[in-house]
Amino acid sequence: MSDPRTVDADTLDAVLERNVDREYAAGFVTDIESETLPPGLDEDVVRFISARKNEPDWLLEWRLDAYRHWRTQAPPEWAHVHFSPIDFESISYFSAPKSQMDRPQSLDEVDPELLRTYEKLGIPLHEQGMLAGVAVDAVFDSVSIGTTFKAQLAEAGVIFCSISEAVHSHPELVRKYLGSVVPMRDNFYATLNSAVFSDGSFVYLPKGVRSPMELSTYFRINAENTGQFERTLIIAEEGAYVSYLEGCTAPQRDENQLHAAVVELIALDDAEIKYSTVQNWYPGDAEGRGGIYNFVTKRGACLGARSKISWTQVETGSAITWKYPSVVLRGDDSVGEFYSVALTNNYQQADTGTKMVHLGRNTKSTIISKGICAGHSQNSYRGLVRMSPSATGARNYTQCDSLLIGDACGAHTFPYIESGNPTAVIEHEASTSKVSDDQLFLCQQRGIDAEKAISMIVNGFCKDVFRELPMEFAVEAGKLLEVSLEGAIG
Amino acid sequence: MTARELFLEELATRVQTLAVQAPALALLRNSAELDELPAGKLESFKYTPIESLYDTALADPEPGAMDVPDAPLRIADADHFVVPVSGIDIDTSALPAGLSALGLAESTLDLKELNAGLDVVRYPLVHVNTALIRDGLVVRVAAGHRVTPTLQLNLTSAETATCSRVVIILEPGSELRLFEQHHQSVVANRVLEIRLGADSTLHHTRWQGRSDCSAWQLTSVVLEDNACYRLDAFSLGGAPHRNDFHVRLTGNGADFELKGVQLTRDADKLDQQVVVEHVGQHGRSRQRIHGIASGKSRLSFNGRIHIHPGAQHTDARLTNRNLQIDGSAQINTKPELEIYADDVQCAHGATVGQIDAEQLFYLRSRGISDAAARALLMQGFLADCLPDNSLGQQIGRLLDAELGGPGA
Repeated sequence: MSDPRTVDADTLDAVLERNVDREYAAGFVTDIESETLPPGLDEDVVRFISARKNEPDWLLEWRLDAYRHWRTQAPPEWAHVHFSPIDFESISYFSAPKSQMDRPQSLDEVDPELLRTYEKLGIPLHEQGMLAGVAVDAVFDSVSIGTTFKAQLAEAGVIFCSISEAVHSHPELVRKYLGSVVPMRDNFYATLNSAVFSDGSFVYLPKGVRSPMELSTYFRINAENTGQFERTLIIAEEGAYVSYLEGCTAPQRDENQLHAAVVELIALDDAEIKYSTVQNWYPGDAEGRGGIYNFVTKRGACLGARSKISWTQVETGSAITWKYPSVVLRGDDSVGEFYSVALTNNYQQADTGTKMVHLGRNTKSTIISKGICAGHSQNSYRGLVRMSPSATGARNYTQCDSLLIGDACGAHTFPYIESGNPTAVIEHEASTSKVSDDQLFLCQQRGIDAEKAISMIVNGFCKDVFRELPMEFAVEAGKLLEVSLEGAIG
Repeated sequence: MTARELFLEELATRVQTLAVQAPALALLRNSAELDELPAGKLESFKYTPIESLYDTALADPEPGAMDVPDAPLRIADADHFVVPVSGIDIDTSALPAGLSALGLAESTLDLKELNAGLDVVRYPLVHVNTALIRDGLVVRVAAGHRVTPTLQLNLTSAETATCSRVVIILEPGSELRLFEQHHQSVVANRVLEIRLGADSTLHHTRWQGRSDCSAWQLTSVVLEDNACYRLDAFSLGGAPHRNDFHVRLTGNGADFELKGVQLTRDADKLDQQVVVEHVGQHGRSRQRIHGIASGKSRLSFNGRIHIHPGAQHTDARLTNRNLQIDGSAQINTKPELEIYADDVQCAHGATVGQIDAEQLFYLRSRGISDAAARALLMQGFLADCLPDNSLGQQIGRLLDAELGGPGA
């Protein structure tokens, strides 16, 4: 049998064959009592969030510092996206399901309504779930509602819990690494997140530990007029390995909702972190009403020699995506990878890409980006490859391809390449084209309808990236692409 | 006082003391919107801060005694003619049939509309050029005329205005060869506007020598139906040099081809930015720019291909390859695509690397010294971008000299 983490073509086909729900399947609202702060942001809100989580003083001070700095900042405008300014005072910065207020001790105590929500989403919160073998931390609006397989992970030495919990159980680790990769003042949205982050996942792998299973977080925004600001921190000590999956959904609403997350990864000597995302936030309707503003800062630091960080993302959701999962290659011989599929349809806008900052000797990075745009959408790749003077023998290869479906959309490429070392080698290539008439003709001639044919061609176009996804995610990604392209072919 | 404020103050003094050549020119000069000159960090001036181009020497009314080097490149005498760029004292009787060359004030151009064809929002330094304009040159090739001798523009002496404005108009069906060389010892701000009528062809070669003075140049080109623009551009750096090219293929079936060499050494700074806009259908553009940076120099390139909605059947390609030679040189490159039409083919590639060790070994194993082998390989790297004519050979020799090879 082939590597179980790669997609079996037959499995993918089988899933595609299935009659998938053509609407946004995760668009339901769960009727659940929740405690939500009134809209608006001031120091009291920051203090409230911190107090609600019984946080130590240093963390409150850190949040307040971030809040004060954020007040002096203006939102970035360089991205190739257009939207009316966000009114940050109309957002509620904290929402928690009410029954969670007394923190359940085990999954049995979790509100059954919540569990049913995750069931609808296909998240195996109960350990006998359909994708058994994946440990899940689920975040509902602002708080983490439970982590599965905790005991088995603990046995292997893996710490996998919500970040609020980690602040209490492992304060020294959180204090050491929080903000070490994405500094509190990094950018407008990261600063906002630092001030008001509510929950998120925390993973720590001690020296030499390979996580016995894939770890997963599922994020869901449920409440109206709320923002979600989760924070994820993953630390892999010397020789450790972890594969981490992240999925997201939100209900259908006419208003735009803000999601500003921060993810920090730290890999020490010989450690490897594989981070996969399937982002399926509500993209808005066919006229561009509603949808999530997904303004996310994700960055990994290869601190140790021979460490490796790999980002794989499939972005099909959100009204606007502003996201650049990056790697700082500090350790000698460290490796950074970025595999991305970004699909936009209707009035979606995506400005996404990566940054590879080479500092160590013989560091290597690979960037494979596939953009698909249809309808009236705008899809941009924005990337940076920087070889600093210390990056002797560094190497980068970048390929970004765009596929256009329809004549009203836009595909753009903005790659920054900066080389400051005369031994560095950088290659970048990009191409843009439409779905070829020949390919379509060939499929249709064999009795495959146009929509199905486009879906097959798009899947083929994305193969290089899907291959990098863990199996169950690859299947979901294929499904998502097909659903998202619905109506793109006229 | 910031660089911008200081510059604006000097500029204002200078504008007042400028002798008025013609009332229309004075009007034009007054229309310059100096308030529009930006300050601070700008994305389009990321590697060459715009403030480094706010050189108050530009506003110096009397450049004083200048060391004026000879123009290094010559075209065989019978084959060319030279017109002074200042637009004054043009001997019109010596011009080939179908070609006219006039000073700005004498030309039939509506001076009020002179800047209308330029994207002053994207290129705010045009305002400086407008504010300091004394005269300019308008070259026009009449419809259907093919001018065989090469028109040579020498922007080499101190007498040449530091702010120059040249407009070249090719009427439908005409053809011209243009050779432009810069060898300045003064700070420069140059605007070259080219209007190519339907079915016209312009072959344009530019040599820009090294200079210790900062320089900014805009080359703004509009191509109508089936017009063809061939540009061979060679630039050595300086303190700092920024070249903007804005090429708009507005007509259907227009064709643009650029071959360029950019070479920097020591503490040179060179920043070249090409924006190609495809507006018409069936347009084609090809760009190949090769660069070599050594020493502590900084070489920056930005190539943007913009396909407008409706510009179907466009075929646009861009290749930028760079060699980084031992030292601490910095190379920045950004090939950009902005595409709003689906039935198009666009591709770009960019590389930064070194001389191939195997190629070097091959030459060394045949008894060629390390320095000579390196020079040979660099010459080969640049040869793809040289025009195949006598001018190309001369330029090749000048580049060889720069690389320290056998041609030196």
